[in-house]
Amino acid sequence: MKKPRTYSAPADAPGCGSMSDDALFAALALDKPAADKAFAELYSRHATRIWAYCRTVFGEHVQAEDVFQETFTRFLEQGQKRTAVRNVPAYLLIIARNLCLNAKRDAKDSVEIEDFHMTVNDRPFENRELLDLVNRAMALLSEEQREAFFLREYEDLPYADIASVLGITALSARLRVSRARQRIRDILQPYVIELTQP
Amino acid sequence: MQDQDMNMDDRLVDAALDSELDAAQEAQLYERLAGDTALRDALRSSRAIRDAARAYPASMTPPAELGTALFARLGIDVAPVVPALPIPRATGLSFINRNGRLILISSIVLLLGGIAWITWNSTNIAQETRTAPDTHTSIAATQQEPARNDASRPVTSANPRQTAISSTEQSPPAATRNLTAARATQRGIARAADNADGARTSTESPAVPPASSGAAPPRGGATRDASGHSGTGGGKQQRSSLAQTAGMEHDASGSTREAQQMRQPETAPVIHRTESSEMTPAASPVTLLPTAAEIARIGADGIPLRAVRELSAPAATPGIGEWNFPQSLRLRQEPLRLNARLRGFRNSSSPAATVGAASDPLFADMAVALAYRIDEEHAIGLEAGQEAFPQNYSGSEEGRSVRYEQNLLTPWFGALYRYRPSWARMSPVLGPFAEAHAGITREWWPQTRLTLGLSYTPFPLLSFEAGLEGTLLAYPFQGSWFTTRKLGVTYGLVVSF
Repeated sequence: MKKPRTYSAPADAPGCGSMSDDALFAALALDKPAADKAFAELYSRHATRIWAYCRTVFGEHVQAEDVFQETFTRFLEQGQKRTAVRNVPAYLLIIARNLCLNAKRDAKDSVEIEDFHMTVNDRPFENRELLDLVNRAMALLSEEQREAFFLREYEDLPYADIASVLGITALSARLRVSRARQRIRDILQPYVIELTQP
Repeated sequence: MQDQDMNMDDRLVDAALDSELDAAQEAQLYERLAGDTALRDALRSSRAIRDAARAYPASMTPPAELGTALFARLGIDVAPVVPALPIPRATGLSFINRNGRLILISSIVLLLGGIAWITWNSTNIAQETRTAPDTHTSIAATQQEPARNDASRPVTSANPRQTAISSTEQSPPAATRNLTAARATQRGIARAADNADGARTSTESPAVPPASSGAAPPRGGATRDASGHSGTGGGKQQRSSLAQTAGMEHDASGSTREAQQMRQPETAPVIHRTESSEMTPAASPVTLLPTAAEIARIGADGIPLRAVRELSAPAATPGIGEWNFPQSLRLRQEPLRLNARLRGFRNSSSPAATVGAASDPLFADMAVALAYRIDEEHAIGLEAGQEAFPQNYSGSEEGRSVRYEQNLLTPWFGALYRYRPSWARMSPVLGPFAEAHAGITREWWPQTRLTLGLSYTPFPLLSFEAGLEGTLLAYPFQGSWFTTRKLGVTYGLVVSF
């Protein structure tokens, strides 16, 4: 059985900081003080990635905030119900993805929302130009390839987790990611070579 | 065959990106990279794209208020904390962060306000100068009053330095004439006094040249002579004497000599000669300022009113008066007692911050203070600010040893004491200061600060400060106390009022 994956927990931090995601998720069903601390710790570990996913889907639309809050609300509810979860990060992304799909479906009945947004204006960093090119190239991918590519390259999820989130096999996830990479590389290679000239 | 090769290359690149190459595949990859430029470009491009994409989530920190709202909605009693993931360094002008921009804007606003205040005060002084004829009239009216016997009044003289300064502001010949006329007037007054009092009362100053010594008679004598002995005729005689004296000395050499004499020290001891010929020292320091009646006569004799005003102008405030500031500031009598300060600080802390602060507020690593200056060296005041304190504390929960790390952003408030040693001042505008602060944070944790720095005061109302600051915060957890120590620089702006 594969070891549960944990994210960004300080290696030398005992207490909540040293607990695995699975243990923290289990602690959500305990008494309130312990559950609150466990939830705060899980939030600190995964909020950034969930927020990035929501912003990627909705851009600066207010629905990104709604989906973000609803994701953690449902996550807490499932923890309090003692739902069996083997992969917390993937589980959070599954919740967020389902909520995003629902929101997009509902929105298409009223106001059109672009399928995929890449917001790069929140904080500055060096390779913004290249990231902007990648984001534009992603728009040329199919939705299946785009999601797989995002979860792999942006969220750094392993193929098994991508498969869990997308509801496909790990092999299919690997194949989608590989095709997406090749497509984006074909599109961007001339620019990337120029940008990355030593 | 071509497609198969490409597929194999893609698989190699994918495996390299995913760090899934075994030793044999790695050797195969390097072998192909050595002779295949296209493969090298493909691998380099793929890595660059992946690196750029990986930086994206790190740049997306959810807003603090979003987490706060979520936790409030869910009834979570613990504050939401989202650690800032490592982000590559910023570029461009982002080194001017929000605090820096706030300080910059505040400084500009305060500076413009100070300039406006100085300009407004200078305008008021100019208006007062323009209304001077009214003053002249009121002085002239006092000439009709009965003469006073104020032989015991301290004798005053025109401030030679002020007169010289005022004269140099005019054209040189006119200034020389004015000096000569002023001295001639005073000398004429002295002669009239001598005529009136004879050997009864006279004044001389051994250290002052004859012209100056003659300029310092008891005014009461002169007035008595005009009103008592000679009446109106005495007044005419006096004016005639003035005209004669002025005429005799109205030459260039005499003017230069008079100007030099007027620059003699005015604090020379003055000896009053009494009828019994006893020599007694007069009050010291002695200033030679004309009486109102004399000023009126001076004005009537053609002395520019401006010179008269400066003869009677009070001495400038020490310190401030040494600079060439608008007259309104030089004549300010009230000391500046209150000052407000806005400052920022940059610190390194122990323990070091391992996570980002919970939020990114507008006001952080900054403080405002209001201080009251007790005297030239000591001041007390209140100060409030907000900053993040990295904390590292441990204890036990449910029988297990636990350790927490957080970077708490919290406001604080306290009292300060400031010492500005006058003996250590490097110049009138630059000097050191030491400041001690004791206060509490919002959580009622005690904190203390010690600052050593330099204060630069280019304007009387505006100072800039910079220095080193040490901060100590103590906080309890489960009966034990922990501390956060910080050391850094502080910089600020002080406005006095």
